[in-house]
Amino acid sequence: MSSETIVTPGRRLGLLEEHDAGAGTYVRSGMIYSSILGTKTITTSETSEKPIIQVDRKSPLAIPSIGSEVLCRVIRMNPRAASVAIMMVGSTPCQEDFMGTIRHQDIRSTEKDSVQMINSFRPGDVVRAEVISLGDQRSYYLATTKNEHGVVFAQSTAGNTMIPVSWEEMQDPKTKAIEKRKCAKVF
Amino acid sequence: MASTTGQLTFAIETFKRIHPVEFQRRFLSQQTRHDGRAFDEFRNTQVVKGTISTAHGSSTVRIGNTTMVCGIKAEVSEPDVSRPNEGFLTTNIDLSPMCSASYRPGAPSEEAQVCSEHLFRLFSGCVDLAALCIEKGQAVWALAADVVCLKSDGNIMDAAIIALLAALEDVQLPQASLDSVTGVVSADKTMAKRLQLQRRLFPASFSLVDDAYLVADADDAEERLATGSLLVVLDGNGKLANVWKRGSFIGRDAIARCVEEAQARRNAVAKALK
Amino acid sequence: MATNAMDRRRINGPQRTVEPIYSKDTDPFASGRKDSRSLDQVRPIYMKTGPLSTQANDLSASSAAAASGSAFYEQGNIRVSCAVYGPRQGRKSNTRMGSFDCDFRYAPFSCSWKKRSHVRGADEKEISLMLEHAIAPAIRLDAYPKACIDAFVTVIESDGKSATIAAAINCISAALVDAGIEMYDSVAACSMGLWESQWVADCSQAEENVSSSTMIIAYMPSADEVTYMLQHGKTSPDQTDQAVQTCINMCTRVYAVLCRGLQASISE
Repeated sequence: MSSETIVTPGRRLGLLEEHDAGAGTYVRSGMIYSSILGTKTITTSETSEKPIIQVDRKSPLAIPSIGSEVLCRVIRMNPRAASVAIMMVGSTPCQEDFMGTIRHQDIRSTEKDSVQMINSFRPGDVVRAEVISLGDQRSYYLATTKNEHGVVFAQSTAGNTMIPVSWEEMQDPKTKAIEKRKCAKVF
Repeated sequence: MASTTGQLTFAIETFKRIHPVEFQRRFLSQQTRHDGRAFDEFRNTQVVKGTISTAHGSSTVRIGNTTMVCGIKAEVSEPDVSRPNEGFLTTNIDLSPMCSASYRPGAPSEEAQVCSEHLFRLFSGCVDLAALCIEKGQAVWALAADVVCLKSDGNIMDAAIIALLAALEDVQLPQASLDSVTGVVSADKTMAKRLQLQRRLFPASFSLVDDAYLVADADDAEERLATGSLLVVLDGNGKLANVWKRGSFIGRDAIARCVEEAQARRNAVAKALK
Repeated sequence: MATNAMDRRRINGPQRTVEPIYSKDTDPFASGRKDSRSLDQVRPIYMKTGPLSTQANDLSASSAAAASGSAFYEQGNIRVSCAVYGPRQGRKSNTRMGSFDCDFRYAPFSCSWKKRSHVRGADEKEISLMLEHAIAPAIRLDAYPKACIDAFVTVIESDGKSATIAAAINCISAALVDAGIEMYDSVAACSMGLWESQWVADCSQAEENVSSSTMIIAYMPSADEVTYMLQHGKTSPDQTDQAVQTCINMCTRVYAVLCRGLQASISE
């Protein structure tokens, strides 16, 4: 059950008494207004008794927020943390990189004290991670504690793309050399 | 459409964002380009002349997504002492953050300075500076040409040269006279004269992507991976006016081929300039 | 005269140039308005959002450095182009709210008077700030902690100083919506000039030159809030009152045009 019209920001969509405000809308003095350009949809769901009004945008925005899954590239490292450039939020590419930090205590969930940065990431690696806080002034704080988070793409010192052989190791298929990484579990 | 790198399957957008080099290589190794063009194919080029009423001559040029506006203002100045009957032509290009996120606000970047300088040298022989004289040793026209990039999607040099040429061809200089008593130059806009160019310039740019593929009219994504570039400028008779090669090795036969392709491009640009 | 410290980063012409004296223009109101508009009529508006390209070529348009949103806006002779970037990595320390910055520039050839210097003038800085103040209230900055939104505006052609500022506000509004940034409302702006105790809408440069007072208003019609108002010159309080009312009415009309253009941009 949905009806569609194209709305612009500031367009009145309905009363808060009759509807719930969904994504792309805001509420002012009991009224629901659109806050973006998009198509208005009204959906009913079992969880709430009122139908939800929301506005679907034509193309999604990629901004990291707490809990979102991101893909990032390791830029530089020190013994305490790795600096990364966030390139994708969910499945949406960012227009420009956001900066992120993976601290050594956020790399894995167990034996945090024995984690060594150098055995987890190397500059250039592509890492899947989760945003855990908005972080400091410069960067978002990310974590790779979950099994499916960690290095998804890495090159060996010889320059070949490596294949994960365990959750801690990756192997160069040509030289058979093994390097240490915090690997993401392959789905 | 999906692509695999290592053990993972990425969506095409993800792949493009994370491995731009590998992304382009997949296309180039198949003798095609990511926007479907052939290696020697230029993007659609459009020229509109005389759109800006506040300038004495103007033009808008589009090459694919790259958009340039050129405006020329004519003002009166005293001539240089050593060249009492010659006017001035200055050319500047503005690459502001508006056209691409890779440019920063503030003073012109080194790239913009190099482009301005190159434009200036290219066009210094195009306008007969003596025709800009109002009164010998007293007053001459100073033409200030400014090329503003509205959207940059690669190949800004071609777009800038075509825009500047079109704007120069559009210049209408008002009839001006110097009052010898008061020293004031008065001008009449109703009696305007078109500026005559001594020669026309037709640019064609080529980029060497990933050290192996020579492509014409590279867009922004390709230019980022380019290791070398070649700008061939021909004059109206098809003679070489300028060749500007930057970056890594391009063979002599490849350069000769580029000059040949530039001849074909010259006809296309001349048609767009009509 | 221009401050002529040699700028080595640009190609320099002669040190000192002047505009020739052109044969005098006639009185702009000699026989009604030159373009035969009525006194409360805004010049025709043309607006286009998204990349300026005419052909849709999606893959090549999505290069990493492309702007998030852009708009091209025409109002009579006025031409303004705007690009919006963001929300992107913020530079400021305010992490609770996003920030909005605006950079306004005249192209050197955009004005009917003397050629503008390449160096950013004080008036451009002032207008940048005006635009920020006019637009920021409409953006839901609380939705973008840590991020910043940048708008870059270039005037390609101007015709009437106040009208150009109003056009810039409309242009940024459209570009912000195109970028998909959450807003309370789009801001529509409009300007007027006082000529012989009569308010004249959307003055051209020739008309503005002879008007004794000007007024710019930026307005959010849906919220019924004025976000920016600037009046200079001499008026009586009653006249100002009247101008605010007329301007708001015109803004509503401009707003309708903006909205229609924006809706058309996604419903092809």
